[in-house]
Amino acid sequence: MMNNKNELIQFVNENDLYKRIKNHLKDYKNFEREKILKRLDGKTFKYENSTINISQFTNLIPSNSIDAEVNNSKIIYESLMTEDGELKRYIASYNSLWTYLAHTHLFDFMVSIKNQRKRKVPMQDIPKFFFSYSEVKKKVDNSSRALIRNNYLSYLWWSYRIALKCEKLDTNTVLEWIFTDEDFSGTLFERPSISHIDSVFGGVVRFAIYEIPHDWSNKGYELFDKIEGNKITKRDFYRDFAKRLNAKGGFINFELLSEDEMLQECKEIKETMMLNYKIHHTKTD
Amino acid sequence: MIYSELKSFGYPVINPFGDDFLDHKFTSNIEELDHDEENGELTAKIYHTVPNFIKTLAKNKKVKFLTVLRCNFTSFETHRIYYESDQTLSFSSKDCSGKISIDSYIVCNEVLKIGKEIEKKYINKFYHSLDKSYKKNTLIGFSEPLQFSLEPELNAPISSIFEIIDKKSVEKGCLVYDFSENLIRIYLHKDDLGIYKRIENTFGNERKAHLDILTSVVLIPALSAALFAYSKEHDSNSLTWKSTLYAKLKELNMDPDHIQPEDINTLANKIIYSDKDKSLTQLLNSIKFLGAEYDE
Repeated sequence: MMNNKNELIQFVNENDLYKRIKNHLKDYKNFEREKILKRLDGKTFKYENSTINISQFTNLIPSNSIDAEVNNSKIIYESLMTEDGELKRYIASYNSLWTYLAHTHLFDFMVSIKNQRKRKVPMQDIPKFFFSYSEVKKKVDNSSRALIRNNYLSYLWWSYRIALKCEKLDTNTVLEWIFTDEDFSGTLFERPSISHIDSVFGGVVRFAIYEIPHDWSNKGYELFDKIEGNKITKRDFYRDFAKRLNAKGGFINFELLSEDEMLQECKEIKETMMLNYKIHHTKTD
Repeated sequence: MIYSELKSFGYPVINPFGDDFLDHKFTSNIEELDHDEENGELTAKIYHTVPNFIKTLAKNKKVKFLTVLRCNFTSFETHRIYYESDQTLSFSSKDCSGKISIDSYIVCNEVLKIGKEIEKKYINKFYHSLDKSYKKNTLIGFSEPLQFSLEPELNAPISSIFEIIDKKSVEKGCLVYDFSENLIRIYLHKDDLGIYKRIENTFGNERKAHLDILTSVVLIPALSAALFAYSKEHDSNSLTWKSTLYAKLKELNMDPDHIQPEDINTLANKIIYSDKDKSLTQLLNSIKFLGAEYDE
């Protein structure tokens, strides 16, 4: 029987990888994996107790539609394992792990996704998509925020992991939400102070799903039906909410709260926001 | 919560600096931090200095101590709650890498009122007329975060691969190296280490000068010795200092497989100074928290 478990390997040095390939980007379009790997010529590091099981990769859907991403994130998450369970966070925090996988076991999948742009998120350009490389900073973006929005595999793995930790919501429901609502993802999900504390994220995502309207139009939403004509865009709503949540976190240690208590905090913030909008609207009348 | 000495709460909060609680301060110290890498367990013996009235509130479970372990690299956070000011805490280290921070707080466990549970004699007059209740889970105290380094990241500054430790058996003015661990251990005489630890109390150009001396006298010689050891044996980069060194050499377009003895000193200088600014900051953290006497 074929053994589909491979040792988990990552590049050692990540910063100069993209520079070596940037003048040969057509190789990606042509699925020239061997050529690309030869040009990268990266030294690798092998993990002793972590493996990648490639047997499920045939079930990956080469599309970045919402349904496909929900399916794919589960497969990527479950295929990477350490001897006593899920892949350790410190390993998953290395961009160079994802860069390595994107150029080896999952190269064809990555190129297929890149060639079929159905949505704007996550960024589809090669530096970010394969390397998490910032053209502005001229180096790999190692921030926690970059981990869940740059390299496509890292984005899928971390999204699944974070969604899995929500106690009171089905993982697929959470995934659908974070893959659908770009404003929620950009403003709240990508903030490590929210998404990396399980109970905090659980409370915030439940608030987003159940406590605010879903049918926002591009012109904004009459969120507060008692205030006619005072529209607010979803993006502005989330930004204001995030700012207030952050301020509140300076006085209350959110780590201590359960998901339910966190949800309650979110509701209180929303009440304050509504009151504030109402006062502001009355003043400008 | 992000720590800041300058943070204003608008109500009395006990901390290491302010006078909200008059002369009373809240400080925390970790005297022993054991990292069992094999089992992925981190044990910290933590001691808080707090006034007796806070100890009594904690004993009666009106307030609680909260210690949060954070790792920026992995965005990991976990916490422990307890009611004694001295406590041994265990954390899983499997979710951490590189620098970790251990922050302690005092948090209300129920609604507390100034003038009732928090007697006015303990707090600054400025707050006496404040009609304020502390809600459950509100912060009432914070101490300075304590930072430590676990295994450094693969692409961390070069100084993060050193551990500087004092050892009785090392003569004054001498350096002894050990390359068998993940980090390069540099052993110094206690008095020598004491000189470098003074860096903690220096600032600006004076600090820079001290760090430059440490770099020249301790780090470059240690790195030269490490490069020599690496040139003799580097079949496996499994030790962290080796993989970091490999990455640094590649960054400088040097061939890690062909290090010539006559180039070693120049290479050590180049590596140290290639990320000098980062190195110095990292170094300061390393020195600040190392230096426990180490004699087996």
